[in-house]
Amino acid sequence: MLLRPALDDHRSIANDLGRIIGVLAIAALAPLAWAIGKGEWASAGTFVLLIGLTVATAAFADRIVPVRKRTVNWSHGMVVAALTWLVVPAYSTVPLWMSGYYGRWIDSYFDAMSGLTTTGLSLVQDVDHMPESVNLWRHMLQFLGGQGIVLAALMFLAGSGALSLFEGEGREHRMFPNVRTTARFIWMVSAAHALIGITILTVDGAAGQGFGVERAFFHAITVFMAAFDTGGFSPMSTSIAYYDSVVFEAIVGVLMIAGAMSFGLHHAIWHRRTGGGNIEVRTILTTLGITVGVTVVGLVSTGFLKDPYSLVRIGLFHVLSAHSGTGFATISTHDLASWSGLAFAGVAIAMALGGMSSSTAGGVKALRVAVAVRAMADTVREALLPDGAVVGRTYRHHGTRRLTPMLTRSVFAISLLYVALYLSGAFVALAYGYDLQPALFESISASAAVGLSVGITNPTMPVLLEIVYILQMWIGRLEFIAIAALIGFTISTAFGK
Amino acid sequence: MIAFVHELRRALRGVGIEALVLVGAIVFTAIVAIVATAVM
Repeated sequence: MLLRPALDDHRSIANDLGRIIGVLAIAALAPLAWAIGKGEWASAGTFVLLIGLTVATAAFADRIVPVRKRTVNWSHGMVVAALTWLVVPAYSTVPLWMSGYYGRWIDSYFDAMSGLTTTGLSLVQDVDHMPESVNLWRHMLQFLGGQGIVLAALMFLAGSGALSLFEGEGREHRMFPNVRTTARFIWMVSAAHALIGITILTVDGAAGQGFGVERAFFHAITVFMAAFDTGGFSPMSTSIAYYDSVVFEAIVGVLMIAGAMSFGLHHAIWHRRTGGGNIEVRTILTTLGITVGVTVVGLVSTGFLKDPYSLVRIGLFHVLSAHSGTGFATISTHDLASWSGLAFAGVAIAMALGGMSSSTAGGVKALRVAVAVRAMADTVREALLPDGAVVGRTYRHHGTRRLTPMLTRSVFAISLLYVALYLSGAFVALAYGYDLQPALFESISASAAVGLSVGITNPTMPVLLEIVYILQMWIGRLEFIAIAALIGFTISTAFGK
Repeated sequence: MIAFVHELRRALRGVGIEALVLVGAIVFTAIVAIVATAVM
């Protein structure tokens, strides 16, 4: 029998959601300051409106919705995480939609969802002339989503449901016993990379690109947020091709690698605890090598790129962009769409596999791939060994861990759900008459939070397909569990006794 | 301040390792590219 949640359960969820929405008000102060500094008064007004709305919501949740008996548990945390990723993009559309750079409101919601889920697909029109403050806000959404707006809230309001909120975001690895200190470490890693990355990109922009310091800083800060949080938005419509600089691409490459690394690995490197092997590191290096090899051979065989220099500069950059879940490009969507055969397969597989667990990257994740391969290998070994022989089922990932049947089942289930998610968007695109290859490519890109596009995502795309991509980005970012909890909560509310 | 500098040093070490991974990927891709263009 389904138990209907009590009124206090709803109040508790509304309370947490309101506080998380309140974080947006703090974040919006930065683009507001930028708008005032640049004299973009119309944009400044939209940020004031956003701050007013979010503060009012937070105050309403905190005072008007009293929680008599606070009951924050695993289920609540999951429901709050799932709702956060639906509601926060809606609030975030205020400056985007009012900027006039989107054809439909749903387009601005698509961009907000794409930013917060660190996907990078975009429906903005004429981004090259967008007010800088609004463009900064687009990029900040990636930073908020990548670092975890829930995680940001945890730093201020960690409570009994903190762990489930943390896991609800699709994060699995805690470096410290306390979730709040884990959140602090994640933000510290980001701040340190921001300081280094923005400084180098600004110097390169000013000295190498010939930008003024102010313009170089704007490009540096936006590209940094997009690269480190594996987002993929770009301040210019031509993405990283706009800079046409090997040095710039190399810096972005380092930031993409940093973004795809798990915060557990960052922690291990920072504390010199990298010895002993890590199954996830070995796996992602192996899959990166395979997908780079497949893509390069494909590019040579189809004749798209012929010289080794271009193969390294363009081929490696796009596989790295795909595997890390960033979605930056140095060639046009038209050129990317012409990649066929093995080149298409290499990039598509890289996107589907994704980065490391507990990183800002999406996709199946290297740890699941590693565990699945290890489980299959153990099964084969067991079959080959004599009856009664014991196969040691362990793997190394920040220490030795047991490969339990429950873990194996969970890994295969989530991996299969990702495959189903990839196919679902492809089927809808096929129904609209798109060819299989671009339909599959764009669907994987949305679901795995990558952002590379072969042209289906554009302001004239069908609204239903746009909504499907929005759902794919949402589901892919939260890795199914939080969505299942939300569905269960909704059903219990509707049909419970 | 001292703690911040300490953390920054750790971060620089991290960025150094990330840069090494990129260099390794470039070398690996270059080898594959040279072999592929020579064979095909």
